[in-house]
Amino acid sequence: MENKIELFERYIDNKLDTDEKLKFDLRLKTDRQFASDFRVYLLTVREIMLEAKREDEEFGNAMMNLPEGEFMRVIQSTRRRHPEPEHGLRFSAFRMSGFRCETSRNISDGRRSRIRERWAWISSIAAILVIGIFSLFSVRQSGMDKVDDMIVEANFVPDFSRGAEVREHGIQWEDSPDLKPSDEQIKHFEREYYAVTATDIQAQEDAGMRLAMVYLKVHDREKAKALLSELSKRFADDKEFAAQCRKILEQLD
Amino acid sequence: MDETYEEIVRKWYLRLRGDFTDILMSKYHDTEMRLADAENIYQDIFLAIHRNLKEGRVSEDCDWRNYILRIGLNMASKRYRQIIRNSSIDEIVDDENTERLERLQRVTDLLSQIPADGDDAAFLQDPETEAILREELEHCSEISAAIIRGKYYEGLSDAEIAESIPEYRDNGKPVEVNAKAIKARRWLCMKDLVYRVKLSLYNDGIITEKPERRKRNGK
Repeated sequence: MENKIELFERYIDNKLDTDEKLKFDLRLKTDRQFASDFRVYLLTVREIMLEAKREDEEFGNAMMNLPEGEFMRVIQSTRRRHPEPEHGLRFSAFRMSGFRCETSRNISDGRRSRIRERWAWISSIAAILVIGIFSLFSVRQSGMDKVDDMIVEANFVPDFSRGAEVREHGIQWEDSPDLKPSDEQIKHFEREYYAVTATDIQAQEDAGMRLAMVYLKVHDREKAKALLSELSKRFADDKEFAAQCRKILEQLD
Repeated sequence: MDETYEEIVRKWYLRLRGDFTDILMSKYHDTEMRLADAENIYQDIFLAIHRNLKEGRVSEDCDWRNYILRIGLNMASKRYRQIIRNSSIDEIVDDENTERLERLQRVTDLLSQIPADGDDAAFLQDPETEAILREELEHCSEISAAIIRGKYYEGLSDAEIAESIPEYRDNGKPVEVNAKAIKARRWLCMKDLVYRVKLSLYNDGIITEKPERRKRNGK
């Protein structure tokens, strides 16, 4: 086929000698495949020419009909900046104000200006990144805190047997859900948990859950999860309680 | 959606700028010409075209790529006094336009002279054929399109085409742009194009004979 292309080209360009042309014409009549290939070739060449002509006409028409203002806008909007040359002012014979590419400037001023501009961009981007990360972190933290508060509200069981003690430590969950226990109050609940009689399973479970909820109330998830995990293993025989611990752990993950 | 005049002009301006400045810079690489200077010349050419069209000095269906390059080389030669070009660009353009139309007519005449039968009659009359041709043309690479356009539309010799195309890369390797490379590339492109056109015609049921599988390097 490659030789055919060269042959077709020479035929179109009238570069075949008499003998070659006769053979070509004869082959067109006798060799169907050859004739078909030549026909497709001619169609392709014609389409190439017509397509190029269409493009040229389209451009010529557009240039002819484009108003001056819009034309200048195209020229100006497609200008490119170029790095300054190493030396001197370059003279351009085709000067036209407002549109020329800059061909020279004071080197040090230009460089300082570019460095300043670059640092300004870097600083802006860094500031945006920091603000963005901080905002994301704040939003995430806020969401987690709300989850903690909801878990506490659903799972904290006040120790009504020690009503006076609860009031004494200033923790009134029902009335002031936004109150946060102080360190002293947290220590009180810790002491309570460790002081419960070993044989009193129910009391231990309640104290453990209260302590875990206190940890969550101050958003100390690490301690809350560690305690809940311990409770779910220690009191595995109490399937309901263990399931409650595991459910809370799932909500915290 | 049809493009606006501004979009068409912008598209052409951006499309040709790279190759134009590459060619100018390679021809004037040993002068003081800088990229900014080449781009200023390019800009001036478009301003000149806009003016010449309004004044009727050039027709709308001019071969614009060739015209832009010629004017550019002319402007550069006046500035850098190296290559002397013919100053009457418009006369040359008119002559080339006539030759182009004659070539197109010859191809059309040849098509009508070859008797059509069977499959050929089918695809000559099928309106889908032109759409298939245009689509396959669009699949040609830019370099191939420039080469076949240079040959068949602009009527340039392989050497002239080589001068109008900047160096390019084929599969990452730099290709020396000379007449021999252009000819080889053109044959390969046309062979591939004709095969793809026939295959598309076959796949669309316009012709019944499946084209031969392409062979490369004798395999």
